[in-house]
Amino acid sequence: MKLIRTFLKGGVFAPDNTRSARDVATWNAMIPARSVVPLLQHEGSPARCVVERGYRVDEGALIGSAQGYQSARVHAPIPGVVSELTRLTLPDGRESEAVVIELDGEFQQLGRVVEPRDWRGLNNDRIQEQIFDAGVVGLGGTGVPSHVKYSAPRSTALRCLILNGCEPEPYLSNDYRLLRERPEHVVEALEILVRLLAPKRTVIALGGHTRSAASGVRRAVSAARARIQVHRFAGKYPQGDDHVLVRSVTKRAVRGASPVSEAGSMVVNVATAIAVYEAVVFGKPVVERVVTVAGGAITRPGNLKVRIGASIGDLIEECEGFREPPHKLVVGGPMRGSTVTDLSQPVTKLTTGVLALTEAEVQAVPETACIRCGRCVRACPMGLEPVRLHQLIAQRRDRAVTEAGLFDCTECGCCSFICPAGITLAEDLKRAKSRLRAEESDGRGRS
Amino acid sequence: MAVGDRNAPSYSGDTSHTWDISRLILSGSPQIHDALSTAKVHWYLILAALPAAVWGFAQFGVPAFVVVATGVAAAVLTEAVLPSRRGSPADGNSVAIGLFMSLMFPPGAPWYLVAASAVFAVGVVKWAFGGLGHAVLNPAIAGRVLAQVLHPEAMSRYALPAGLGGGELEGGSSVIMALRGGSTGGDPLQRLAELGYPRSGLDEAVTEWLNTYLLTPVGVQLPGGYIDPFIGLAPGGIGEVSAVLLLIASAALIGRRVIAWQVPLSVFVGFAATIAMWGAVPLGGAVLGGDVLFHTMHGGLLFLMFFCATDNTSAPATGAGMFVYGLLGGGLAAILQLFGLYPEQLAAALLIVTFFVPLIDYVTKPTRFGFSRRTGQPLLYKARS
Repeated sequence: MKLIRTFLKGGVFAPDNTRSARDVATWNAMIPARSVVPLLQHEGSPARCVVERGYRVDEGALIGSAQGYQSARVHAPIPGVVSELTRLTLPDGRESEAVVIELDGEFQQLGRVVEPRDWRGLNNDRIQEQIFDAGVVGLGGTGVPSHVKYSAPRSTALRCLILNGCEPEPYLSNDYRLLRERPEHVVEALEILVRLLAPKRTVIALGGHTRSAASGVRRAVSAARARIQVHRFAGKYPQGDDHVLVRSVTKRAVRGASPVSEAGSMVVNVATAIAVYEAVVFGKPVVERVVTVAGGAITRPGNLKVRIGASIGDLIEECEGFREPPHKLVVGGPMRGSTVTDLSQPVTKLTTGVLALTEAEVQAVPETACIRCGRCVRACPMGLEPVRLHQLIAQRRDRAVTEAGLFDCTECGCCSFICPAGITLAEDLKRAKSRLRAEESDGRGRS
Repeated sequence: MAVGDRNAPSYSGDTSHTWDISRLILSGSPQIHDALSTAKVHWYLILAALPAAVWGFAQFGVPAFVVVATGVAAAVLTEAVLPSRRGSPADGNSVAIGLFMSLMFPPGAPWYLVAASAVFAVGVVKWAFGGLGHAVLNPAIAGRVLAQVLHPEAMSRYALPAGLGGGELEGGSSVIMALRGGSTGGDPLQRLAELGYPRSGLDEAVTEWLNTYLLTPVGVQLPGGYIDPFIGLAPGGIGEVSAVLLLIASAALIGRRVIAWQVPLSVFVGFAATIAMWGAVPLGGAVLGGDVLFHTMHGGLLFLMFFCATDNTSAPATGAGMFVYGLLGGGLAAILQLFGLYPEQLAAALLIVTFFVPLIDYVTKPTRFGFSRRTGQPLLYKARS
């Protein structure tokens, strides 16, 4: 039994509020009668729409093709007729085109037994193609197209491949359910990635409440005779952040502004691994995902396997609606997620959770003057001084704030979470980052 | 596109509230908070100091209560009267300043001295420097030190607690000053015995019980005289005398993360190391023969390290900075305790160390993640085969 480790610099202990949802087995949500599928469900350029109004699409049919280097395919989650092409604003603020499909016709995959394919006979190019065809992206919320991530040129051999099974944020337990219910598929996905990427070392990292999935994961590893280590970490947030996790596993720290690939590591999310498994073994595109529906206002919290494009209102109704008036409706986790007021927002590949938080759970504090307590400095896992960055931003000292490490901020939210003065540190830092990025690309455009 | 035309989810909650989509709020991430607000930080600190304050009132009577009431009232009134400038009495900061300052006063201090110090603490040290969060020095400590400067005689007159019979100590001075000039081979308790310092019956009974049932089996003997200051039967500042009440309060504060543990720990280590080194010297003892337990419980260290040194604004920001600050503060406090001209001057040690905080903060800037501590440059990992 290995000692349970943690990271030393910064971080916060958020209350363990996953319990209500995590002990319930994942259930299948009802198939939506109507699916709104955004063409931008990833990091990069949006997929190009290949259907028109009135088209009849099969389940899993291609409706958006990847355009440009960093892009991903989008598929029809339900069979039916394209009733509308529209635009919408996603929870993270990005605008996207969307294809609206009205359910019609029959399911060709749902409920059928498909023979698993022996991927060991495929060569690496073929595996990559399968991943690309299925539209796999980082389902933990980053949305980086997986085929881009796996084929990106590397200056060094991959030293360490890490499956990130750590509790990503408070409340979210969808990764945990996958680790509990499908450990053998997670392990097989890792074996596929090991074949593809040839890492020197492969590690499954579990942290916080996901530690209790350790025995099942270990059994799956030994059943597959895979050379995979299982590491366990404490439930301190943000243990599941790429930079913190790579430091914990490999002792190599990479500044927040640089990708962890600089240390020869790659971090893969659990849901993404499952998507890789389904793409390579069954040729199945990403048309559904597991979403945590939780928060004190939800009557029956749980994890639901949902078709992409279902509305979050339907999901909440599936969990028997509200038992208390919600104060905030959050898409994503409580630390990085965005609030929405529109129940027709569709579930996308990046929707890890839908949280209905009560006022008592939000625990907002009134804003006061900064008391210079230094709690934000002690909580920053990147070793930054959020209070100082905040001042420099207010003074518009752009060069100084960049030198002080603004772009190393990974937007984990710890500084705002603990600030007794209720200052919106994380939000303001995030805004400044996008402002400076926009100004920089403007400048480049002009010259 | 017709958004929002879907039926809203059902609501099965308490019907006195209705759920309404227009009441949902939009906010930037993170969406939750750990709930410890500025006001809560201050009110929890005040709450934690109350048991020790009540003990002080019980032992030192009405004069002690007058001192504390005057201090708090003067502090709050000062903030209320001055034009608003970050913070208000409701955030508890001025109450905390007035309370902590007056709890460090001797029970019989004149009311006008307390009032003047409180006005100085809140009006000058806090407000004039910019209000909440802008005080460079710790206002409570600055007020206490001002009183010492204005009226050293009144600030050196300590009374015996009611539990030891009340009245004044011989010479009107404190236990700490009684240790000056003796020659008992470094034993402070023996020196007190020579001077006829009283001990309670409780101390004798508890010491005997401990020795008989707990300590003799492990081959140790506890001399009499430690139990009194532990429970709070000792002369000293109004809120400073009960070690046990202060320790319980501090455990709660650290557990709730109201105060950072690094500060009291390092203050104690700095203080204890210095006392252990030179504690016996003024009484004619050898180097390395100091009585740490005695000096921890007499002279106000515990109150100072839990309630004053941990001040949010004036203490350093990083854990490493807190250690430097605490070790320096504790060490200097021990030197003043052993060799100072007046009793209860530990606050002055902390005041002096606070001047070094900007320097400490500069030297102990956090190492950025992914940067080399030595060179300050980003770490690079060379491509290795």
